[in-house]
Amino acid sequence: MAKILIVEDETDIRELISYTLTFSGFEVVGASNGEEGLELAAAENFDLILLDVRMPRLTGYDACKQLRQMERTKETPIVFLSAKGQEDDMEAGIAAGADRYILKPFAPAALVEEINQVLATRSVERDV
Amino acid sequence: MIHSSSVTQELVAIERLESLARVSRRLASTLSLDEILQDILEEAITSSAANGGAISLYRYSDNRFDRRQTSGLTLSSRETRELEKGIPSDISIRVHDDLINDIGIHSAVTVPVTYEGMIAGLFSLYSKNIQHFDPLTVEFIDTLAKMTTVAIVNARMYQDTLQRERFYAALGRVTLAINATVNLPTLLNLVCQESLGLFNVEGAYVWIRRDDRLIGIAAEGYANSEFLGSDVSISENQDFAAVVANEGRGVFSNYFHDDRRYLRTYRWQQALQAALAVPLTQDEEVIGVLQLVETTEPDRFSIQDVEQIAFFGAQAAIAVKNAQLVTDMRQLNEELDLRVAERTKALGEERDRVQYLLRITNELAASLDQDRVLIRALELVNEVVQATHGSIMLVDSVTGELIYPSAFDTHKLPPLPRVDLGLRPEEGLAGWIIRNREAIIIDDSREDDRWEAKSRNPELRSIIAVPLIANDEVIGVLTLFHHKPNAFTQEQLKLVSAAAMQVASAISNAQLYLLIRDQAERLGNMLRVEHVETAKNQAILESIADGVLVADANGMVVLSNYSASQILEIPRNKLSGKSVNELLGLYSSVGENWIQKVDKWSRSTREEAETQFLADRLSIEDKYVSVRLSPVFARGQFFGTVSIFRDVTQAVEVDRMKSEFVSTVSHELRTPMTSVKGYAELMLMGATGSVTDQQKKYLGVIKSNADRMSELVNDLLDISRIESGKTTLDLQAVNLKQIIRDHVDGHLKTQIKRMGKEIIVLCQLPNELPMANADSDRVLQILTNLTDNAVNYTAQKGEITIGVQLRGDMIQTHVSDTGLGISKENQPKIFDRFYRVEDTDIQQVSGTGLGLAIVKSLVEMHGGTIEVASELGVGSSFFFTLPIFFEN
Repeated sequence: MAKILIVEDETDIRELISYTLTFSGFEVVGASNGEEGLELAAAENFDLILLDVRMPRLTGYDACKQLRQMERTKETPIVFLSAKGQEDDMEAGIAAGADRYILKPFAPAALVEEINQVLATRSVERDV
Repeated sequence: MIHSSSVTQELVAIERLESLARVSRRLASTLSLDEILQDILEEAITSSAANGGAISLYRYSDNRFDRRQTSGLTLSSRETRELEKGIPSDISIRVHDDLINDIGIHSAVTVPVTYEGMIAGLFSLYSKNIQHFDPLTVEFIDTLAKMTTVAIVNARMYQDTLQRERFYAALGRVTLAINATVNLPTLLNLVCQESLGLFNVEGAYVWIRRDDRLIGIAAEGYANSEFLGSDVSISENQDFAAVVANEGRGVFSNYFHDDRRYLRTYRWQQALQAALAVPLTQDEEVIGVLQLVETTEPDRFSIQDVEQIAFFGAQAAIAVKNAQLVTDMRQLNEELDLRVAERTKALGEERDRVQYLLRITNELAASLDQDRVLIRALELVNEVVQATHGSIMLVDSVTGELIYPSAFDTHKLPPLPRVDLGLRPEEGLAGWIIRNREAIIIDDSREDDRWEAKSRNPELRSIIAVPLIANDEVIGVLTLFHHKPNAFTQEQLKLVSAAAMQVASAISNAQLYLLIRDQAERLGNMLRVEHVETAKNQAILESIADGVLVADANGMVVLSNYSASQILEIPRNKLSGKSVNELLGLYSSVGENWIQKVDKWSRSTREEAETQFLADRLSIEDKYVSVRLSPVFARGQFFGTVSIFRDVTQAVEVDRMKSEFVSTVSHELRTPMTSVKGYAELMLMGATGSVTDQQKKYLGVIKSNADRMSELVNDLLDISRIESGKTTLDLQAVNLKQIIRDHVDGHLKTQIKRMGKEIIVLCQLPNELPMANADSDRVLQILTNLTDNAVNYTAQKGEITIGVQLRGDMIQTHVSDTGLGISKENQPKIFDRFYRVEDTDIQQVSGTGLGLAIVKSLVEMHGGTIEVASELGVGSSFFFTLPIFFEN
């Protein structure tokens, strides 16, 4: 059972994702901002981290960069989930070290599918 | 004889010796030949006891003896002829002893009087006795004859001297007179007078030659008044003087009366007994004849006379010559005087005329008002002519008809019409004048066909009509009338003609002045308007916010405005004369391209360059400036460039803010939409428990509207990015056929299926198609937008056709459907942002109203165009073009 960290400041959305993923069989831990997310990620292992981009205190990009600096999370798949859908936004996200950039609004089913794809890719890479 | 012969002989001898002594004394005491001859004859008769005797003198001129003295009984001249036979060749003494005649003379002795062997005369004695003259007596007579010779010689010598003196005296007087007077008649009369005295003749005449004629010009003595004016032909008439003139030498005729050689033209010539004439010559040319005449005494002239008169004639000729010279001189003088007088008179007239014309010129030149010129011209001209009427007709330059701008009337006769009679310039007297360009006088208009207004104006009898000619063009006719016939003279005509030239010139000047004034006014107005326009343009140019730089063909700035210097941050005085290239250089790489382009324009004459321009947005310092540079061409020639600078910093800022705003808004919209869409889907998935069909349907509505909003946000972001220039194309060689095929098989068919429609998709793709120079993602975006529309606006069943054709350098793609179609009036608007056709059918189809705007922008970013062809209820076709890809 994969364990996923959701870093999202919007409670409604965090809950939506949380519910969807829990419904789809994932173990979910939520964080309401970047700093909190970093603390949680540093404290325990996650199979995947979902990051919102625009968040108070610490943006998703900065959080992503820091996660990549950390030993525990430097290999952890990171997926951005953002309303900022412009190319440079997406490029900035990938450049910060993310595996994927998913644009809001998303269909919950599609999100689950995307996460499964990333995890599958990562497990293949790990096997190799 | 009863006396003793010796005594008698002694006595006779003594008596004869005494007689000889007396004769000798007489010879010494007197010079009168006749007296001496008389004495000798008397002594001879007495001493020889003769009854009579005679002494004749020989005249060599006609070989005759001229009896000078007779005494006692003498034989007549006729009776002595026999006795004198053989003389003068035989000069022996002849004694005749047995003569028989009526007067009883029976013996005669004839002794020739000789001088140096030449006969000089005859000494004849007669006696009634037979054999009266014995040898002694003959010897005595011979002695007396010799003494006679002496007397004759003496007398001749004296006579000659006397004659010569008289001649020279006369010559002297004549010469003196010639020098003293130059009056030819006086001189010639003097010559005649002196000749008369000198040669002891009855008449002396002078003829003067005039060409082939001799004219009697001076005369003294016989028939002098009759002679004057006599006139004979030299070559034709055998008149005496004419013969002399013809032969050029002196001639005399001692028996003129009987001389048949000469013609007698005049009565005064009939009575002439002797005549002598010498030619008067000058430079070997006969200029006249001096003639002497005798009416009583024939046999009057000798060759010596001819010589002397010739002398006289020579003087007379000089006199004539001098006099002629003087006369010629005087005539010349008189002629000169006359000519001077005539010329002075002519000059005076000319001066008056010139003064008059000058006055006309001055007065007319002083006024440029045509009406005044015309009235004044008529008044002035009429000062000279004193006409009763006058008029000036002008050829109207517009209608070509004659008009009467001016007329006058001094006699209160019916005035001439001032109105336009509609007279053509070829009609009437005026027409004649205009055609012939001739000034004329009509002495009586009733008898001249050229005056056609006889019945209308019968009182106008005399007419002067002259053309008004200015610049070789007849501009009118000046006509003057008089109610009396023959009122005008040629002099007046001349003056009026001359005045007409001035009048024509004045009218022409006035007309020119009018023209010039009009033109000056028009030009003035134009200039004012131009001035105002220029000022306006200048003000506009100065006040507009855009910077304007005008450069000449060499790229030098010739005009700039305030804004240009503000925007470029270059002081105005430095802008002028600066090279545009230098300014463009400010803009780094863009500027380089521009410089090349401008250079290309400057060498271009092609019209297509006229539609070209360069536009770009540059950042200068902290400003954004949009620049547009256009070439100026006139008649294929490059004149320079006009650059427009616009400070778009604010616009850029606004744009940026707008983008930011759109970006922020879209982000802010996406966040709530995420919840809306997510929870709806979550519920639909059944993740929150089972939902009823009704709930499922409504959740579906929520979801699809959330999708639509999401689409709207995407489109908004797209259009915002395109407009703000943030969208860039990644141009590459694109296989359009492949993209279309993939799109049709993928997105389009899925879309049709998803919509649940039965739409047939047809592809019309050529086998060979060049690559397009395009951004494949954008091409796909274009296709998606167009085909989505086609699907959306096509009913349940229909047909979508996608085709590609080559159009020159472009590839044209069209997407056609059999949908609702777009009305003609809506067609131009469909590419506008947020435009949606107000139609319930269409409104039912979801759409943002941005799709076609985005498509148009993307197509145009590629350098292509997009068009629509549609018919309501039939379908729509969209055509867009993309450029062909070329290597490099």
